[in-house]
Amino acid sequence: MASAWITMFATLLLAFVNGTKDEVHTSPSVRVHTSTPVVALGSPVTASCIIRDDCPLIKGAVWHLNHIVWHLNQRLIPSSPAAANESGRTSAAATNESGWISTVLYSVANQSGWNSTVFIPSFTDTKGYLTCCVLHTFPCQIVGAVEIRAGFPPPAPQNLSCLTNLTKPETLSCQWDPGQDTHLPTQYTLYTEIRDLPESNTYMLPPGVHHYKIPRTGFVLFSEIEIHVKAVNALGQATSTPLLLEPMESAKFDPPKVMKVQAEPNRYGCLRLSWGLSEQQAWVTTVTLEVRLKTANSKQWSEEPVPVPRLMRQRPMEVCRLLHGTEYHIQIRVRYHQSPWSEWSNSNTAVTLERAPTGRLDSWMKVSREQRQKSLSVHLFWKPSKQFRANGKILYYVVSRQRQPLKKGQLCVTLDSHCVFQLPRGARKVFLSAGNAAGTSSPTEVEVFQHRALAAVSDVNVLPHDERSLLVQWTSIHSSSVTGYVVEWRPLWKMDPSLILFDHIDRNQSSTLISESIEPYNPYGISVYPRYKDGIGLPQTVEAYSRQKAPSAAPNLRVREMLHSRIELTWEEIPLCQRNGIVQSYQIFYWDEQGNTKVVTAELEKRRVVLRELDHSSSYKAFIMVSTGGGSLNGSEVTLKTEPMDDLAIILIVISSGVGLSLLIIISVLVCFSTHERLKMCFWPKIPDPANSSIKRWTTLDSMQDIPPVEDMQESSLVYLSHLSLLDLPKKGLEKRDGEITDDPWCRCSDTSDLGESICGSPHALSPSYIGSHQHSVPYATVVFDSPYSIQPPSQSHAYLRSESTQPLLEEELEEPSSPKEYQNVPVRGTSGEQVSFRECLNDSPGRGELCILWDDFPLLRALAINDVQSET
Amino acid sequence: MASYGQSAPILEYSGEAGQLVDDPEFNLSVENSQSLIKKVLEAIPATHTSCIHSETLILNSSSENRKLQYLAINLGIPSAPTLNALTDNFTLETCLRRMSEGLQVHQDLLRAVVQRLANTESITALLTDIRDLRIQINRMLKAVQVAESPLAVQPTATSLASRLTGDYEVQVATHLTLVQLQSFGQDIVRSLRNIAQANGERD
Repeated sequence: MASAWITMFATLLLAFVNGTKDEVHTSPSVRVHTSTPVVALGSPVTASCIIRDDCPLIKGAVWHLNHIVWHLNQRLIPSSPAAANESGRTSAAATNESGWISTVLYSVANQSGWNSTVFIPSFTDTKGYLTCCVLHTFPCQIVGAVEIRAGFPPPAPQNLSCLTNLTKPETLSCQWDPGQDTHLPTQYTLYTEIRDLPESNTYMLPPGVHHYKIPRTGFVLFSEIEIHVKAVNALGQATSTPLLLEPMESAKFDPPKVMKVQAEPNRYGCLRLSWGLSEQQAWVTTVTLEVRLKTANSKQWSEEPVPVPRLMRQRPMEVCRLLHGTEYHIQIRVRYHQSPWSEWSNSNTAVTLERAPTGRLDSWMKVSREQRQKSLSVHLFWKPSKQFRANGKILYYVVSRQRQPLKKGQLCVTLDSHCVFQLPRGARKVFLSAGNAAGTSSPTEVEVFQHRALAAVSDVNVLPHDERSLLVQWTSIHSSSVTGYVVEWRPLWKMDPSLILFDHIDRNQSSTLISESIEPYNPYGISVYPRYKDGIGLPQTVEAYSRQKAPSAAPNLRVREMLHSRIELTWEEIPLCQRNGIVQSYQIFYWDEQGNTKVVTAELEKRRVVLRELDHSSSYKAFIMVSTGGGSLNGSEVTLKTEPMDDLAIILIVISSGVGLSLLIIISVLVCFSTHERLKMCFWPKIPDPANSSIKRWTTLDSMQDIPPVEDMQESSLVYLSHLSLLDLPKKGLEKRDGEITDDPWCRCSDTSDLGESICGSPHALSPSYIGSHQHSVPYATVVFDSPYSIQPPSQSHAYLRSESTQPLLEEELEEPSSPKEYQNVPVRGTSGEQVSFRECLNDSPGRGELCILWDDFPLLRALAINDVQSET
Repeated sequence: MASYGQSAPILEYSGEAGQLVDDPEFNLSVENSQSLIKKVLEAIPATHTSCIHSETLILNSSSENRKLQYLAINLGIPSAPTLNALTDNFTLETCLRRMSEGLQVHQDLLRAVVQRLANTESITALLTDIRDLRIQINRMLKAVQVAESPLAVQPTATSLASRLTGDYEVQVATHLTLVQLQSFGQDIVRSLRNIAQANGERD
């Protein structure tokens, strides 16, 4: 292997030495050449590599046809179409792209060797190297290469145009569009031919350059020159369409100068203009000129420049048909015949001569008559009509009673656009004129109409049109006596009458756009007056904004009144200049310390609001939100504190409560007195004293004497009478036994016997202690039921009959625990709930002996018991 | 030999019949010629400044120029043709022919000196303008001349070139040529105005 490398290097060295001898970059024993170094893109390409036998790379080696390979830009070209197919590249396109190689053995004269030819049917690269490589060792050794370039023939140059530069050094600059890229070096040559000179010039340009400046010697001023361009590359050539031009007509001049503009005496409506071309172009005698003007007030130049009809020498010229007494800014531009226009010159200013104003003034008269005065107070407004020409600076307006504005009849002389004056009632017309330094205009006649209660227009509506205009609409009056309308508008935030503006509208119209002095976010009062043949109708006025936005300032909340649970807030109106729109709502947001927020909307007109149902001694925060048609603004937050209940309030409440209570008591007392007996019966019933009574003495009549008449009963047919001994028990005791009363064994004494009841109700009748305690007598009463007691509803009212008994109450006795009496129901306390009754002691129940009370001890009760037995039977 | 820089004023055209050319092209050429002669006249001072370094050679100094009359003869600088107001004796054709001849003389003189000058740019531009003016004059001449005849101008460039032995001679020759051209140019301006008036052009 090492020997092979050594052999190769030696071979190469030899080849290099041979090469230098022949001054050929390739080895003299190897020659690579092509007949098609430049081809049209996609065309076939052929190259051959001839290797002589004496080439060291093949000398003495075992040689094979496939030992010569070709590369195109490092891509291997297959040895033959068959090989290409074998290697899997079967498609025809691929084969065409790659090409193939044919290698043959040649023998010419005394030389022989190998001739390898490569054929590429379609060369698609714009540039490529075909390299011939000998496979002597690995890798193969490049023995030579050829460069192949592919492209297109040049298209004809397009859009050839030339422009003369008259600033030194003067040149004629030409340029053209080269068209499609040829991928090949393309050289352009400019050919010129001057008509008046027997000479033509050729300007060779470096490859790829497609513009050229022809020097001054190459063209003749005022003589036509024909120019064309030729494009040449390896595949062909093309020539542009010839361009015939006169250099001066292709010159764009420098901007000219306007040196002076002035008004000449007695040249009304004209200005004299001194002008000149730039210094380097001043030699041009005549040029075409255009003038443009604008008045000092205007922001834009006249749309159409004023052409000067003839060629102009550089002498002062006059521009006429201008407005009188008007300041003009003037600019000019120049060209030579049909050459491109220069840029506009500098601007110069002058004022045309003044003349007396012409045209009429539009006027609007507002007449008011004082009741007691004989004269009319007139406010006259005016403005220039469309036809009016001030023709200078207006120095005054004259309102006069006479057509000729003599000093005698002058009502006012002013520079304003309105004036106020007095007129006698009979005055019919006044005359209005405008004056400047040159004179006074012919007077405009103004009829004096007193305002009368004539019909007004209806449905006046003002819509914002844009930021600086408003659309006023109304419903026209269908009357032949209406001659038109007057729309009057004024800023509401200023009271200056000079700011009142007006417009006369034709009778057929029912809308107009007003834009003069309209600013966004400001309020305007807009009135529409109908004009009648014999007067002015009543106005309809609306307030309007061209644009609205949130107010600039919010009102400050003030506490007007504060009570314990309510706070009344009030605020001032926002100043007009800060309102920025029509206020649509005032909303108060307030919240307590816990953050419970509430909103109250105020009435627009009142500008006050009451916050109700507030807690005492609580702190609240609140702010106002004012909204217009263009947005809302929140006011600053205020803290509100409700008042606590003060001493006075407490006193007032106590006094009022006391007075009320007193009144109730008094009324009750009065009622009591008036019904004394009844109350007495109610509270101190007459209870019969059983000690001083005898059953025998009681007769039916006696017992019935206290019974109400039968007809008072609900059921007259049936009267139940029970002689229940009611104790005047302490309330406490009654409550304690609530619900048990009906179960009281006493009450079970439902016997209708008077005697029994009496005995039943007076257990103390025979008590010795009772005798000695008369002072504790308790009144007894008889309760009259209208039905059997056992079925009495508890709520039913009963009739009470006073009893004569003064027997002390059982309960009272029970209250003395220390010495229970023998008939007392001793275990009552200890056995609460246990029903205890007087009954016989049964022998078979010895356990109850202690509770047993002998009937003999209570003779009356014993009799009652007997009655019970009898009734049961 | 013309008196340099002080040509006699040409009388204004008196309005004789037979001098009018009713041709817009002719009028345009008159106008173009007026422009070009104005361009030449405007270029002369700058050209003089750029080419003449001698402080004694002043363009508009007649007293200094009088001192150069000998050198002018010695250098063989021909005088410019005389231009007069158009009359029956001095016809439009004659006038135009004289203009053309005079311009050619100065072209030749400038071509002779330009070879010896270091700064040739302005002289070359001046030569170009004279060339363009001559084209306009010749166009007018062609329009008015009855029979075409060659211009009777002798070649002067070679004779002058042979006499420009030193730098001073070159400076003087350039100076004298520019002074004479300025004078002749002013004559051309007058003549062209004369022709323009003859053709009824009014400003």
